[in-house]
Amino acid sequence: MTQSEKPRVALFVTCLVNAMRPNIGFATLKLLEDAGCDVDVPEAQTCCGQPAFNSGDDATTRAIAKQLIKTFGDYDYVVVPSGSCASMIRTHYRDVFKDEPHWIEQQSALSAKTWEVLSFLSDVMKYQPSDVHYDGLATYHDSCSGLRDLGVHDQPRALLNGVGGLKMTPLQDNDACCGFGGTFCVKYPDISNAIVTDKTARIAATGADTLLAGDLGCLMNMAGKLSREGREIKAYHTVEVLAGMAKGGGIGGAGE
Amino acid sequence: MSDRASILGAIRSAKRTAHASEDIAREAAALVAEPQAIQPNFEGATLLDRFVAKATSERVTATVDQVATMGEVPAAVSGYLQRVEQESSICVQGGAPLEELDWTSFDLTARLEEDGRCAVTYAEYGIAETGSVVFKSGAHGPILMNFLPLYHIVVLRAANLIGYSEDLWPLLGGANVPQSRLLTLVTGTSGTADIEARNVRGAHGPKHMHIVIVAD
Amino acid sequence: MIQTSDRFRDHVARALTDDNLKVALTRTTGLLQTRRKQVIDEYAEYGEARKRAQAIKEHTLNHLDHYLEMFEANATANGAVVHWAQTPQEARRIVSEICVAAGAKTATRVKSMLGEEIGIAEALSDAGVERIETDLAEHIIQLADDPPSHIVMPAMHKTHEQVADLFDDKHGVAPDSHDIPDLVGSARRELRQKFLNADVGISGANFLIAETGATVTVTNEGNSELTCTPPKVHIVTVGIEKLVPGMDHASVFLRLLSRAAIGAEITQYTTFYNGPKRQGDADGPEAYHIVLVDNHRTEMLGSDLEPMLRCIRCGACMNHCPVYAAVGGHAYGAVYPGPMGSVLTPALSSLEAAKDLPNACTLNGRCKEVCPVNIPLPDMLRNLRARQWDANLPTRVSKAALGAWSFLAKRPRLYHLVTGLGVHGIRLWAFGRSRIKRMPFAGGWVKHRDLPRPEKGSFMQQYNASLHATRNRK
Ligand code: SF4
Repeated sequence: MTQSEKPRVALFVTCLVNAMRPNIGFATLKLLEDAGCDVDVPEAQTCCGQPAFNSGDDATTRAIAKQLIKTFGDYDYVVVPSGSCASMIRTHYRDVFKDEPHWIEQQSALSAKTWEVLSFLSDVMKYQPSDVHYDGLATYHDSCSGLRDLGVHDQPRALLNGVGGLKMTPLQDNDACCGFGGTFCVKYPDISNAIVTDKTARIAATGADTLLAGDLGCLMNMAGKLSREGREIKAYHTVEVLAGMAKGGGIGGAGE
Repeated sequence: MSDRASILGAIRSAKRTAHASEDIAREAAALVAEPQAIQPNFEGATLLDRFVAKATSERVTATVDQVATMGEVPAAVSGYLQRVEQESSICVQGGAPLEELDWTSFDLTARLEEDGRCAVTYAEYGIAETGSVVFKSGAHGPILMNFLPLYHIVVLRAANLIGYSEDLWPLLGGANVPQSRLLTLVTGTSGTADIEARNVRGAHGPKHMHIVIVAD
Repeated sequence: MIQTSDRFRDHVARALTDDNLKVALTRTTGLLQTRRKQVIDEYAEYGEARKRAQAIKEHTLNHLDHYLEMFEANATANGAVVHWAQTPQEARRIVSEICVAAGAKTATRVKSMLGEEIGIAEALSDAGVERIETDLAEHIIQLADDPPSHIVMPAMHKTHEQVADLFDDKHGVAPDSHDIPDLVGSARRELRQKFLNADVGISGANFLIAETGATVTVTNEGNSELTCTPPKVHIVTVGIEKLVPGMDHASVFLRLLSRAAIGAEITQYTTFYNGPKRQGDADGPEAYHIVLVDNHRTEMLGSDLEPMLRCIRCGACMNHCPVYAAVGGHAYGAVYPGPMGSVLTPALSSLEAAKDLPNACTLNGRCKEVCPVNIPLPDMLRNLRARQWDANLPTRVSKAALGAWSFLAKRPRLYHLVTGLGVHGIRLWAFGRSRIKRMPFAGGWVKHRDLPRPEKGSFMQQYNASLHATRNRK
């Protein structure tokens, strides 16, 4: 394939990945390139505006959204390693601009070409990993925004199917919230804790040694709890496994 | 201003647009056109098969007997009472067609209020979709006969089986016919899940339902 | 019931340390979820039915004045006396007056959330009438003097052991055993004569049929018919949003309501009340009153809260809500708990009085997914947060934190500089350990879970460094 036929993809790493787990960003980059994309990482990226949106601050959300539209508007696709941030752009941006109709056109254009990474790899690029290996028994948590807003459910499972050595075991209530909820988990830490405690109990009950999901927020929540409970279960973002970059102790923190 | 006027006024100012009644009626009818699209499909099963399957399902918990004629109903009732080891003291709904049957071997009572009794009532229709039986209040006897006894025996003619609740409404005579005070669709027995979501039968009324389906 | 939603955080603290509550909630919500899923999976036409249900409610709300007048005319022709009440006070006054005029000493009652909303208990005590709750769960909470904690199963917060102790204490004849069936039997024994001797029976309605003037109740226990038939007066109190145009429309909702609520295709008793006793009837009340209640509903019409008026009170949203499952219904401090309550309570009271409710939600979206009339509950909660923001309700601290972050998010260069430094700072704070268990400004996080030590440098720093390296190599 020549350079020009490759789709021009902008990687939006998200603020959480940028600060806390760059490995997910690099894994996404690698997978997109392996899948045949011409990938760019615009430097002017910050955040999708979700914290402001979920706090009810629509004016700030709009300002951030406009900046994002300007930064990412020229690419064929915008790919995000998070269902929640992708859904913010894809499904919630239109609520933000309901009072500024002259932005709607640009906003809808951006929303339409924004993808969560796993569904992008699977549905758009028809990518299937080859030559990757992960030794372990993993269970999968379906993060809420990806699952309900974007229909991400079968894609990660299909992709993981191509990973040698990886065995999967189902998680009971795989579609129930882990209690993260963005600012929720710091505003209502005790409720969040009650919810994530149920979740980690279910995870432990699977007997898996690895927890996989598609959103770093949820993963940090569950992995942080697993770690606090002293459970030896490693957590990775699905792209880390798919890219063969799931090394070390995982998101829970057990070291680099 | 009366509360009526304020409420209607508030609705009108929230909605602003007025529409002709015929237009509203047309729109309302369109919303329920082709009810097959939302009716659980049981093609291939007869009304009777479906009704019996639903009525005796784990969720409805009724038992069913099938007899050929009305005349055989008292014997079926007596057989049921023996099987469940109940004395043959029963309340029977008045009026046609139950009153005229031969109940001489039974101890007929009117003391429905006492707990633990058995009543025999006549269902106007049976709904195959859900295994429900339909009763109306009227002069033929207290409607409470269907709600007070511990054992509820229901007589239903196979000819009165219909597919869905939508098929029932036209049989009631339509919007312009005075309706009985109470119309009830009964599906099984009085139950509750109010303690720890555990299903228990016999909450206030019937704990057991037995349906005698008459073929003729 | 007195609304205490402003003390949500206190309620939560208490709920999270209540072991009985935890047991009660785990025993129920899981079961309800499984049962619902099973009957919905079996109902192949569910998607279409849900679409129609939403459309029917939208249509009815668009022409609510028309349908209310139609209902009133038909119910009156059936022999009902129709009353209108804009406020709970007015509704209570109407109910009290009817009871006093009837010389009533006792009233049996079928659970209705609208009745709780307007304070039926207060109306009856004003009229000097003894109130007898006949729904098993309402009977339990009446004996325990608790408010309801769920809209379908108001005693969901009680374990059967707690119910057993209560019945031992309060029933005329103690239960035969502490098994659930015997507890039910004990309530049956306690209530039977009360049903038959009551002077007034009070119900709500799940639906009002405009074309026929019928009020409809849906119960499993059959307590509605036992409440509404023996007394000489039957009073229905109902919210004006319960209307549907005709019987065929009711059929659509009957298929959805019990599937969503309890995981059954239909409830045991679906009953249409068409008026008082007819000439020649063997039983039934002499008088039949319907009180149509507004209580802020007309304010919701035409606003972004209008979709909430589609609600058929099935309870599925709370049965699938992780927050509800963690804290139970009482924490919300209002008649309506869970997701639908978090939308409705601010609408029925005020944004200030229910400040926490729209925020105490992870926006996971499961409530909307299971809602049989597709109410966008998470979006509505989010919109309420925006209203709070505009009304300047969030605390100074949270506004300041968000303000600082927004300032950066709008300035990419500064943002990357600061995140880079922040990452470095957190790494330093970790003192070489891979996990962080304590940290200033992150108390909410590290109180319950560890924070991983970030990698060396943010993604942007590492990425730019590697770009430089490749360029230099070239
Ligand atoms: S909001 Fe939806 S799910 Fe919740 S009670 Fe109302 S109808 Fe049921």
